[in-house]
Amino acid sequence: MSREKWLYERLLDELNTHLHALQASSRALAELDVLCAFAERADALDWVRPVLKEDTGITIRAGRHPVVEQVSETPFVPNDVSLNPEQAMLIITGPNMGGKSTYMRQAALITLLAHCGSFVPADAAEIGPVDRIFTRIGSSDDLAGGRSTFMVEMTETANILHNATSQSLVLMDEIGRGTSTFDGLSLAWASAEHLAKLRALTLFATHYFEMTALPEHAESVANIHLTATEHGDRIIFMHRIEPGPASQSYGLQVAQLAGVPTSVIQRARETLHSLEKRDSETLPNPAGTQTAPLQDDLFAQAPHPVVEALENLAIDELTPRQALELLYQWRERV
Amino acid sequence: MANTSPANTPMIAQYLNIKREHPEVLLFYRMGDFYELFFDDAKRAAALLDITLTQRGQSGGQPIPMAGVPFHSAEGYLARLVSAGESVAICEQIGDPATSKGPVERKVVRIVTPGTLHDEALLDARRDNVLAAIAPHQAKWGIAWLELSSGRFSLLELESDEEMLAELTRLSPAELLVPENLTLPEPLSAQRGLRRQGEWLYDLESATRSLCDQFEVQDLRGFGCAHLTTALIAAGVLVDYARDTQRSRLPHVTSISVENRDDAVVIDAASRRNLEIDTNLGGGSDNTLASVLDTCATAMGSRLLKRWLNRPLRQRDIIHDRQAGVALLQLDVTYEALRETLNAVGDVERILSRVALYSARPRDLARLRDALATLPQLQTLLSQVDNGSVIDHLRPHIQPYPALSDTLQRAIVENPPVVIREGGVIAKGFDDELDEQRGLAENAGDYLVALETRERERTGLSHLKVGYNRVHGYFIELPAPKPSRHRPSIFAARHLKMPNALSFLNSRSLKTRRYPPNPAP
Repeated sequence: MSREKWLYERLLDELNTHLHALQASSRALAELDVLCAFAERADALDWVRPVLKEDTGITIRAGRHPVVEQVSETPFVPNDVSLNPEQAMLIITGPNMGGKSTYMRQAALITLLAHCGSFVPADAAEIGPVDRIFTRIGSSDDLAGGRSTFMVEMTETANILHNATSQSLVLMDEIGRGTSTFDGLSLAWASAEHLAKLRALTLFATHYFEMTALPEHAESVANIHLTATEHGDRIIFMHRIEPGPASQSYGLQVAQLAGVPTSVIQRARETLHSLEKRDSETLPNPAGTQTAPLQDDLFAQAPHPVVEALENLAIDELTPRQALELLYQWRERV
Repeated sequence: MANTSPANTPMIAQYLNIKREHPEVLLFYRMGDFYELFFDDAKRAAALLDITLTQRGQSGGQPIPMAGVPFHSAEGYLARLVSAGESVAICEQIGDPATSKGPVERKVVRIVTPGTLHDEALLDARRDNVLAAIAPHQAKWGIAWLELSSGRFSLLELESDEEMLAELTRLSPAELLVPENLTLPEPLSAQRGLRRQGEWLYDLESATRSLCDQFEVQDLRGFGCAHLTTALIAAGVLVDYARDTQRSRLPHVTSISVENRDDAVVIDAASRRNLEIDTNLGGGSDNTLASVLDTCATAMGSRLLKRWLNRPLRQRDIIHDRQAGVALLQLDVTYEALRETLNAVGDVERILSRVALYSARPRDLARLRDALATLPQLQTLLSQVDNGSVIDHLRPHIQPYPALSDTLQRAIVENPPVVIREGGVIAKGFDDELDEQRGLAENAGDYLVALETRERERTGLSHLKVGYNRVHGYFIELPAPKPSRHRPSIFAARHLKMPNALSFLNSRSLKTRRYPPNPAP
């Protein structure tokens, strides 16, 4: 037995004299393995080789979400993305559940995959240099950390506003949702405007239809929306990106889909009608009639003093605390 | 915890001396076929492992709590303790129980910690297991990290808390070393595997010395990191810790690489979570980018893929080279044959680390043997792939090792047992002496008869018997004590050419103990 153990240790000795070469070999084998996996996946999932270009911008033709496409039971609806210095920001509106998050994430994941050397789920993709990827998505409640949703959201937003450049890909999803409508809308608007000034490559999903007026105030911003059609009182999500802002939110239809009692839906419909009626009597419809926003169109009027203050605000120089204090002040004035 | 006092038995005194060196980790104290834990360690382990808490002897008039696990199934218990964030010092018997006066000499041979694992049974094959250290300097941070199971060692300096947190989210260390008195940024307080290290360790001079010693160099200029003083301090603390836990020089850790933050697409901690690269928002690995892409043939490939996905590069020439490689592998579905061959390669990376740490199991060597055997075929397949991609850099390393491969082919049996201690690992025909000894062991009966005859003649004791039983092993039995000048001694026996399987000594002189059956780990 001890002879055998001795021989075994001598065997380890001998292997150790070749250790460095063997380690280099194992690393090369691992890398070959990954490249083979990339090739196999590209064939199996019909992915294409993205073109790496030197000009800033991201152009994706018929892109798909790499994960959702695999797990979804219905055929995935591909969509285009086009971000460049002339059109650096896309404001995305459309029904909840309509696929805004998926659309934004697929753009980020395709960009990420391209920077790893992998092929990407699209018919074609041209990817310019990207220095950072930011995602402010959903409400990642930091319950363990004891911070409120809104505070988390603002901390993440502050980080993005401070660090984004014209080569950053920024995803903003429903920013401002964690606070009151006006606070939220004002913050969303100001943040979007700031990013537009930076020319950061931004996808900005929002349920504030007022945001669709931003292209009129800032260069290089465009509206896109996700489509849905009504079928009777029901709603069918098309998951297809179209230019321009969404025409309605389908909030009631989604609520119905989710099983909210019919009596409540009915009551909501009545309330909506009376609100819309009041709006059309008291407010002049803003220029783009096809937008027909359903919520108060704050920005179609003379700028509210709070909005003016926001517009002139150097957000970069604020601490999160100062931002919060300003928010409270503004709420007093609204 | 009791103090060493005259009331303690010599064994408990020895235990307490060793335990004093390792106050913060559980001490597995080897006694015969068991690892025993005493005092508070016993209570903690009994609770964590759901094993029986008993007592043994007394210390300072109080019974000593004791719990233990059988050594041959210790691995499963270790896995549970480590995944609960505990570290365990393994204290083995070093001396020979037969010749020791008082307790056998014992020594801590290794400390198993969550961030320094290299045992196959304790690791997730398809995820990196990272030990990291951070050191602060004003608002800046130095960070160093080591994957002990591959030898990869890197460092980086960061300008702010956010940047540091972003990198830690990427690396997801199993264990993180931080200075004792440092107030941590809030998100870190919930970090798993936090280990506070003495402030005095955070010193550039001693860190540089440790690193130079590790890499066997005069200075660190060759690694291009001499100016990253804060990160070097972290690296020094880390390497000291890793070497201490392994009781080894870590021969496979031979360099440190500087990661340049500008080389990669920066993704902050929150954004990384949102993208669900290899971990979904629920903490699992389903429905992630990695889960869709990872069809790697080897576990080391899976781990590299995750590293790549977690660190997208801005260095376009490298990305371009990879893309070109993927495109070339797609031609004629070349990847298919390669992947089929790679299936037999296995996790060479981690096997090599265990080779370096001398903890490689017989099956590791069998798999390494099989991996080396695939290299000629991989080389041929790669020679058919055109030039002009990253594969050009891989070819020089994917070469056969004919001599080594031949040695392993001849040395290791086709399907070796799990551990070396039971023998049967080295193949027949590899070593004459071993074959001869095995021949003797197989013919032990004949040998014992011959030995008995020889010894009877030599000593003149006609009742001398040579025999074997399970309790005592091989023995020589003498008739009832009669004064005799001719008492055969073990020294006489040593002059004989004895097969290793034979021993005159009762090697199990330590009392074995029995527990009520423990639940399986």
